[in-house]
Amino acid sequence: MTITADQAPDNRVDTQLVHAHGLAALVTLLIAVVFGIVVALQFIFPDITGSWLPLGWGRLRYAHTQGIMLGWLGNAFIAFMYHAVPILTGFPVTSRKLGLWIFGLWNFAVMAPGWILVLSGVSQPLEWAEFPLIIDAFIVLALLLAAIQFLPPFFKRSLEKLYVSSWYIIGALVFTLLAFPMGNIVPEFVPGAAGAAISGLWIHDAVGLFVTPLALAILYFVIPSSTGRPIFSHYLSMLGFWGLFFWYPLNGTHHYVFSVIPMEAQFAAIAASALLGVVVVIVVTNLMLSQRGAGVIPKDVGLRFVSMSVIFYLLVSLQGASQAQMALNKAVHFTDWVVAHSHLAMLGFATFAAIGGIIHAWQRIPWAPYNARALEWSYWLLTVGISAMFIDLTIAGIIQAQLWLGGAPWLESLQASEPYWVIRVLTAVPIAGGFIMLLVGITTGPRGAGAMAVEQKLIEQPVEEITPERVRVSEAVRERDIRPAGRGLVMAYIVAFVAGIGFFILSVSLLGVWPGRVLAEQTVAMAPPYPLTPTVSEERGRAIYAREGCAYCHSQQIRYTEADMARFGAPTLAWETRFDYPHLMGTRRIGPDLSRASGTRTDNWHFVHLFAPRAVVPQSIMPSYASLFDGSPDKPTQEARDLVAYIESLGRARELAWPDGDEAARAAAGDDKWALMSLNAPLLNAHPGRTRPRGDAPTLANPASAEKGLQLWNDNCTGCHGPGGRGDGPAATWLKPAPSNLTMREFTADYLADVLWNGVHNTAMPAWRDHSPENLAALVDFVRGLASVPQEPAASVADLTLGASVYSGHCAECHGDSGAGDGFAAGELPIAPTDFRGERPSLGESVRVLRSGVNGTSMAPWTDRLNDDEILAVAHYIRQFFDGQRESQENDR
Amino acid sequence: MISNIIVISSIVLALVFTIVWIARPNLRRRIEAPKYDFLRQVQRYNRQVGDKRDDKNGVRQ
Repeated sequence: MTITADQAPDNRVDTQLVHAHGLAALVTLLIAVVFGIVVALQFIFPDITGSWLPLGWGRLRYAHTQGIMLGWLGNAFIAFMYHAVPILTGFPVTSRKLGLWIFGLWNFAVMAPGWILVLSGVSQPLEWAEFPLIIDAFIVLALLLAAIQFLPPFFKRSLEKLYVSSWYIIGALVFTLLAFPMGNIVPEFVPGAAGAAISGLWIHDAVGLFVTPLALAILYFVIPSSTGRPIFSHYLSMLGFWGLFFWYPLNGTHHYVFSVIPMEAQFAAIAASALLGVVVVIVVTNLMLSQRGAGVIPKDVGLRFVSMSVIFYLLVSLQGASQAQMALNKAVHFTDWVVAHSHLAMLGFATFAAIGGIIHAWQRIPWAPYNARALEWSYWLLTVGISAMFIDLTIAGIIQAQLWLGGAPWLESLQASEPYWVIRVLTAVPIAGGFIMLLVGITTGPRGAGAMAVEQKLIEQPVEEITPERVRVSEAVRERDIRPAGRGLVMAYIVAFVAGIGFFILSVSLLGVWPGRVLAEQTVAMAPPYPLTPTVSEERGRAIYAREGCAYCHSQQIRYTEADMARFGAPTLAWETRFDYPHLMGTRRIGPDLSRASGTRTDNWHFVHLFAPRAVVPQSIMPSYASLFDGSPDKPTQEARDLVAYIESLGRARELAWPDGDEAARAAAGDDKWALMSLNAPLLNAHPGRTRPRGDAPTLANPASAEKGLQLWNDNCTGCHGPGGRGDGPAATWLKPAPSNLTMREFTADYLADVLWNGVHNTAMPAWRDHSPENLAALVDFVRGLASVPQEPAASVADLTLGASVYSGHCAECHGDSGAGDGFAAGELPIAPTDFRGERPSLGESVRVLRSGVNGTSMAPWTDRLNDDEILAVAHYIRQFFDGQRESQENDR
Repeated sequence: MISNIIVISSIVLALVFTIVWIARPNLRRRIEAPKYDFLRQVQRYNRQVGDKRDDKNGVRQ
């Protein structure tokens, strides 16, 4: 069938704009991938970029995801639309000049300044929305211009005429324009969990209303164009279109399952996620059947990318539908499983579709260079690299989930993850190689080689038989189509738009507005009557915390699960987040959650930890924030002080409200079982490192092996106490009080068990309650074995008499009459006096302490009040308090 | 409650689509028409690409 000249559509494609956006896509992709690789390397070499904040983990992570979504996929999709819209509609896009404006805006008013600002510390701590508000304004403007550029050609044709790719392009342009401001701007003005509900919608809308529709538009476009056959079923494709636009926006809250967001909204998102999985199966079945005859690995490299994209789409969608279900979500949320999922979505499904679209368009630019061999390499490298990365991170996620659910110490999950993080970095080699080959493929090679391949394929391709019935139907539609637009056409568009916008409004109402109202009511009902507002310093610290992406590792919410309650304490209530503008509820947990950090560590520990994380936590992978100090942890800048002030404020309001405030909240909660789960939690702060009063340590029988004791020592203790236990670890010089020299002290087993179980309050010595009694027993044995106290000379009666007198006059008020550290003044001291029944310093160590005091404690030097004889006498005297001899005698018996 | 509404509305939508598909063969044919039309459009464009390989300003029949 032929088309007469007067009916011939104007399908002119502006190949230069396709080319410009295609190249911009590749350039931004390579930059974003470099950001991603550095971020991945920082898991293994945390100090690889030093402590220069612009290259800090959080900022690079922000730049990475925005670069992939907006720079790479945004440009690639625009390039594809410049190719596809004139072909789909038979009309050119609105204006070439407008195209130049969009290109300039997208790359020079959004991407370049967006990256510069984010790396400079001007950003939003919102997932997939990290560019700051000023950039968001330019994005909205660019989206608006893109709608003006690409939508009018569609409106010149009847609705009935629209091919499925057209539907997806229209849907993406309209709904991204609606969803973007909702997800990027609204959370700045809606606090805490209510803001997270909105943010969660955007996290899914970014994928569901921007990325997926445009990727599917490419798949539905490239497959018939490359195979020369129509898609299997246009009916199924439309079923998929409406199904996706109905259910995708309803998925948003599944990013916050088991959070404080109302469970009803969570259940809705979970149900929608499962239903979405069903729709995706229909879509993928249709796409796979549409490729029948093309082979498992199609010859056309553009189609090959598209074909793999379909497979990735199936995998990622089924994975998404299943991980939203509570049973699986409870285990894998916050783990690398989710990171694998997001990479499969953005680098697998969407990227392969975008590459397929770009190659397809490139092949049809008669003057463009085209290197088929490089593109072949690109395909294989990317397929291998992304598949390996997905498998690797999925396994890592399962291992992390297992360790977290089992209550293993946090560092064990880091250690177990390390090999997988190394493999992830290795997968960057084929992935980066694949992207470089892609760039080579579209910038080198003979000009017009792609077009020659298309021409050759047209010669080889069997012509699809168009039956008379198909022609009749198509002609009938065409006749209607070329009629001037009348009231019926306008009505059809209105109905479609109202339906689509209705879906969007439904999702925002059900999963954004309604949960926000419920959370606001909960906040009013359960918050303490006198709110503890953040101080100016804490507010500034919060901004730094957000700027550096801390919530992206520390999750900033305790979920309503047994594992979270056991590890961190009472789940986060809505009112605890009410001052968070925007919210900081993260979706990944690389470091432990900090929602209840208040009162858990000393400021001194925080300063040292921020300055040199591995000095106090040898296995830590946290980046150093030494830039916040003037060269040393004891010289914090105002920013470091603000940051620590903020960390110290986390959970404090609830702490102060407990238990009376929670009692009132319990009455307000009524029969809300989820709120009661938080209010009835056995511990408000279950942090295993939080210090407690002495005395409730479990009995440490049956120690694990000596090797285990050594490993625990190396992994946890050497940063402060040094490898040999002399109190000379890398952190020692900065800690006040300095870590004990364990070689100069003898300990009873019970005393050490108590110290390990409860920590030493107001010092850097945390508790270690996340370790099993067997492991703690092994560590106790190891520490006791460090002692190299010499055989001390026996004290004379005169020394003991003098010592008793000095002790009674100067020491007993703190250390107690029996040396138990329970003198009448002990309760007033920030750091408890030494209990000489469990700890016996060597004679020399005692004399040193009496002469020099212990910096950072109430133990002052005594040389101004005691002479050398008195010091020596009291050093002898305190040794007799030690229970160790009694202990060894009992053991002998 | 909301999840019930979502599930029920999904079932209703699926039923409506299925019933329309079974009951309206004409509509079924018309729904499929765009895929043939698109194929013709894209094949025509592909042929133009071969014809105009040396056109630096785009492809136009």
